[in-house]
Amino acid sequence: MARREAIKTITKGYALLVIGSLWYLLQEGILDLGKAFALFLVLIGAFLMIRGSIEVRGNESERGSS
Amino acid sequence: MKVREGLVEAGVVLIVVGLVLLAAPSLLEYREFYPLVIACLGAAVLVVGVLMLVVPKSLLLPLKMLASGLLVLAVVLILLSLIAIPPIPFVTLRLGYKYSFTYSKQGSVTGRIVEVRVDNSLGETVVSAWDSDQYYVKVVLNVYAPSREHAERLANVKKPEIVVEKVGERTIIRVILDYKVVSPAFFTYDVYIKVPKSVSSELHLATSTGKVSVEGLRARDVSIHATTGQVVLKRVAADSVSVTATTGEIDAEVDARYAVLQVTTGRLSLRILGNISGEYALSATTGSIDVIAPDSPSVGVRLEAESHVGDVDFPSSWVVIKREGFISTKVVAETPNYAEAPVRLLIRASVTTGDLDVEQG
Repeated sequence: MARREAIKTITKGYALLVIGSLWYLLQEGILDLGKAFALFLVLIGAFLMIRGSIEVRGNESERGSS
Repeated sequence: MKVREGLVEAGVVLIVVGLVLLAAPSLLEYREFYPLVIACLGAAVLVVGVLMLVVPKSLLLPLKMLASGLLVLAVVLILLSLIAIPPIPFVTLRLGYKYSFTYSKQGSVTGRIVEVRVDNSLGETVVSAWDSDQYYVKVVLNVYAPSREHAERLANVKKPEIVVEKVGERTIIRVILDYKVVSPAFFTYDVYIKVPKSVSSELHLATSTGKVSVEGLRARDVSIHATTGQVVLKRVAADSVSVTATTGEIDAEVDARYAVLQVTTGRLSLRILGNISGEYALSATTGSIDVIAPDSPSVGVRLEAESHVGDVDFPSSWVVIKREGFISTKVVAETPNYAEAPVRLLIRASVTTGDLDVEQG
């Protein structure tokens, strides 16, 4: 339960970090809309992959210990 | 339970936003730093989340409360930003009235080559040839703002920079546009450039969602990149043409020694003028390609096409040299006069799920 809460908090933090950073880069003209959107997809995709694999590993170890 | 927690957080957010607006409206002046602060809050929440994985259970509740507090603060900042700034980075809403400001520059051309460089994300860019021996650059800044005062203030800081350098035989024209978001307004630039017909041009143009047009030009090198925008080439003769439009559209009427035209999901429409021999490499992933080649005894056309799921159509009078596959097709075909024609056009085309249609006329 605590682990799930922690992962949820990490997800929220990561989402804010990505949104804030891309917003800033866009505002400063370092990225254009197209690149920012592409980078957003890449960053969110990478995070979902990592989160998914961590959750799968967590479930497997929980099953193993029970 | 979760819904109730969400309601409490939403209530706190709205109260804080209201209090900030009442008590310290001057905080809105620092809104350009909000995204950075939001990113830092995100990093802090992330660190708190990682700590929640390792600390003993007794510390979980305080950490959770800290994370909630930081999240509320971040949401407050996002809401404040959206109140202060229309969501321009995400939605290109044209808010307010339109005010236009024009900037122009004209001068003589040194040498026989004119190089043009423009990266215009949202507006229209038109490069054309004219009979004068001078170059002419006009940039129109269109500001959509609540009042003329707002628009003029923005126009003062968003003046386009028209840079003309003369290097040896070359006149280099660069138009520098600042698309950094400023509130409360939406703005675009339209760029119009005229170059003498007598010179040879080199164009390097780019856009995200705008439109790029090139008309009646004789060029050494044309390079255009559009993300979702539209590219139109009319009566353009060039040694080398390279145009990519990811989800946009290409509509070209050209004569080129070597041309590469690519779309991913967009539509590619090409009319080859047929005054010089050339090779045309065309590709579309899910988009369609339509080609019209000249129907003349002096022009021979050869098609080398590859299609994975889509159809390949060409005139029935052409000689089929090779046709392989059923669903995935490879076709090589040419006009009967191809071997002896003085002008020979080689079309290499590749589509994945789109259709390729080649006609003569």
